[in-house]
Amino acid sequence: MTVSDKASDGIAIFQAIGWIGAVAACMLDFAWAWMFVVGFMAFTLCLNGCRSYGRVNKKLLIYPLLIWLIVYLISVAGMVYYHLHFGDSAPTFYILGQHPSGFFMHVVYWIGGILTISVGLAVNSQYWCSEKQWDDFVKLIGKGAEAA
Amino acid sequence: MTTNTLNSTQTAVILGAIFLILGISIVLGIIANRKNKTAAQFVGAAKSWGPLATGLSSTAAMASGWLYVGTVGNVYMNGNLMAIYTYLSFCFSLGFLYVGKRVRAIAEIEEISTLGDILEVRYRDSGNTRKLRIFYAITIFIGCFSYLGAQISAGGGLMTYLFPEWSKFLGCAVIFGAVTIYVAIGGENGGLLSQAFQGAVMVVCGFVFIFMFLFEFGGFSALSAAIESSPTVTDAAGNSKTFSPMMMTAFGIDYTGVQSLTYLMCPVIGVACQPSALTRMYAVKKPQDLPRAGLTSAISQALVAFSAMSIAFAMLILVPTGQVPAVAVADQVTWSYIGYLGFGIQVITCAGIMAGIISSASMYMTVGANAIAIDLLGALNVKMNDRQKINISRAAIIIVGICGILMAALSSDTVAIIASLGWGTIMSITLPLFIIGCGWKKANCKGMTAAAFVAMVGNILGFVTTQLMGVVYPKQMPWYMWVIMLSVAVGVFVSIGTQKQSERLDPRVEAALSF
Repeated sequence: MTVSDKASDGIAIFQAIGWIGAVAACMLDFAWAWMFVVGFMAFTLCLNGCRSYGRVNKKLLIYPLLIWLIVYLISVAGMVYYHLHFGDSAPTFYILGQHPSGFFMHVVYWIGGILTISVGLAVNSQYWCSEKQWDDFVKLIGKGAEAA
Repeated sequence: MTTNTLNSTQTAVILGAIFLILGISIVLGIIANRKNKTAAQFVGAAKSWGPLATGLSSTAAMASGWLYVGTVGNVYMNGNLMAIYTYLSFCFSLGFLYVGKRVRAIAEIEEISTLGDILEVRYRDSGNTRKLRIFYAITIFIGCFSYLGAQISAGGGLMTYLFPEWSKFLGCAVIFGAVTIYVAIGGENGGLLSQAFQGAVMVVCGFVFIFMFLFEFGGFSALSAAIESSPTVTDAAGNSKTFSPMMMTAFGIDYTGVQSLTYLMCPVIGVACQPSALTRMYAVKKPQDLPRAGLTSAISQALVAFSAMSIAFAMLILVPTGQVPAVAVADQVTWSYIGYLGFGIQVITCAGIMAGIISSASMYMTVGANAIAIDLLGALNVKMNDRQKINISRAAIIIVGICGILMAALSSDTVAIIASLGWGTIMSITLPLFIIGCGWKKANCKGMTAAAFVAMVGNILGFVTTQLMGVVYPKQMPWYMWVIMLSVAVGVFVSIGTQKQSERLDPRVEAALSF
C-alpha cells in the first residue's frame, strides 16, 4: 500500500483535527462517539510510522494494523453500547461472569489489543524493519556523513 | 493511611524485603556503570540494551506506586472508569509503531544523550532550535519533577505506615537517598537495569493478587453476584457505600463519557509520549529489538495492571458480602485488603509497591535532571565534553533527588498540588514534537517551537487556574486535554503555514524519516 508524503501531510492534519474534535465532542456531549475516531487516529499514526520509502507492507497492514483497528472498533462498540444500554441496572446476561461492557473491555479491547498489536508486531517485525532495511539505512547515512 | 498492626518482627521482615530491593538496585547501578563508556550511555542509556531489559524497565517505570494505591481506590469507588486507563499493555507496541524506528534511526545519525538531542537533530535544518529546546526542557522538567515528588511522597508515606515512629523526612531520605545514589552512580543505564529488576519483582508479586481474586474469591462471577443487587454497606463510623452493577461496565459510573474519552485517549495515543516509552526507542541496540521489547512490556504490564485491579475487584466482593468492613477513603482500600489477607501478603505487597514507587522515581529523576543539566544548558550554548556532561548530570540528579525529598517530606500540600502536572503535561509537549514531528517531514522548527511554547504556557495556566484559582473547566474535562489539543493544532498548522520551498532536510534525517 502506498502512503505518500502527501498522505503523511494528511495524517498530521488529521491528528490536529482529531484532537480539536475530541475537545468539541466533550463540549457537545458526543464524547462516546469520538472513541471510534481515536482508533483511526492511532491507525493512521501507525501507517505513518510503518511506511518505508512511501510504502506499507501488505502483511503488516493486515496484521497487526487492520485487524487491531477492527478489534478496537468492535471493543468500543461493545463497551459503550452495553454501558449505556444497562446503565444503573443489573445486566440481563453475563459473558464469562462479567458485565457485557466489562467483557468487551477485558477480553476484546485489552487482551485483543495485546494479541493483535503486540504479538502481531513481534510476529511480523521483519516487515516493519528488516535487518536488510536497517543495514541499508546505516550504510546510507554513513555515505551522507562522508558527503557532509 | 491506616495504622498498621504489625509487631516488631513483622516490621523487620518487611523492612528487610524493601532493603533487599534497594540493595540489589544499588548493586545493579554499580554494575550498569561499567556500560557507561560515553556521556550518551550514562545520560541516555543509548543503544545499550536488548528487548527484555528494555521491555521490563518500561513496565516498571510506567507502573508507579499510584497503580497499587490510587487506581485501586478509584476502581473501588467508581468502578472500571480508571481500569481502562490501566490496561495500556498493548500501547507500548503502538508507540513503537508510531515512531519507534524513526527515533532509533535519528539516534544512529549522531550521538544522542537525551530526547532534547533528538529534537536538535530532527529540527535544526529548518531553523535555530534554541527556543524549542528551552521550552521543551522547562516543560519536561515540570512534568517529571511533579511525578518524582508524588513518588517520593508515596514512598515516605509507606515507610511511616510501616514505622509510625519514623518522621516522613526520615522515610523519604532513607529510601530515596538510596535511589539517588544508585541513579547518580549508574546514570540512565543504572536506572534502566534496576527498573528491569523492579519490574520483575512487580510481576512476581502480582501473581499472588491475581490468584487470590480468580481462585480464592471466585473471580468475575462472584464479583458480578456481589454487586448485582446494588447493596449498600455502612462502616463502623457510619459512612455508607452503595455498589452498583454499572461499576463493572467498561467505564464505571461515568454518565457523560468525557472522562471515559480522556482515559481512553491518554493511553492509546499517550503511552508513546511518556519518557518510559520514548527514551526506550533509542535505548535498544537496534530497532529490530523494539517489537520484542513491546511484547515484553505488554505481557509484564498486563500482569502488573491486572494484579492491581485484582485487589480492587476482590474488595468489591469482600465488602458487599460483609467479609471486610466498608472503606470510606479510597487510598485505604489496598491497606484494608492486605490487612485482611495477613502478614505474608503484606510483605509481598509492600515489596511490589516499593518496587513500583522507586522504579518510577528513578525514571523521572534522570529524565528531569537531564532536561535541565543537558538540554537546557545545551540550548544556552554551554559546551561540555563527555566527562563534564557525566559530572553535571550526576550533580543534577543529586540536586533533583535532594529537592524532591525535601519537598515531599516538608510540604505534602505542595506535592498534592503539583501532582496535577504529570501525564498530560508531558504528553502535551512530546505528542507534537516527537510522535507527530518524527513521522512527518513537513514538521519544522517554527511549528514545533510554537507548539512547545503553547505547551509550556498552557500547562502553567492550567495549573494556576485549577490548583490556585479553583477554576473547573467545562464538562469537568481535565484541563490538559485543552493544552494537548492546542499544542498539536498549533504545531501542525504553523508547520504548514511557515513551510518554505527552499527548506531541505539533512539527507540523513530525510533517510531516517523515510526508511
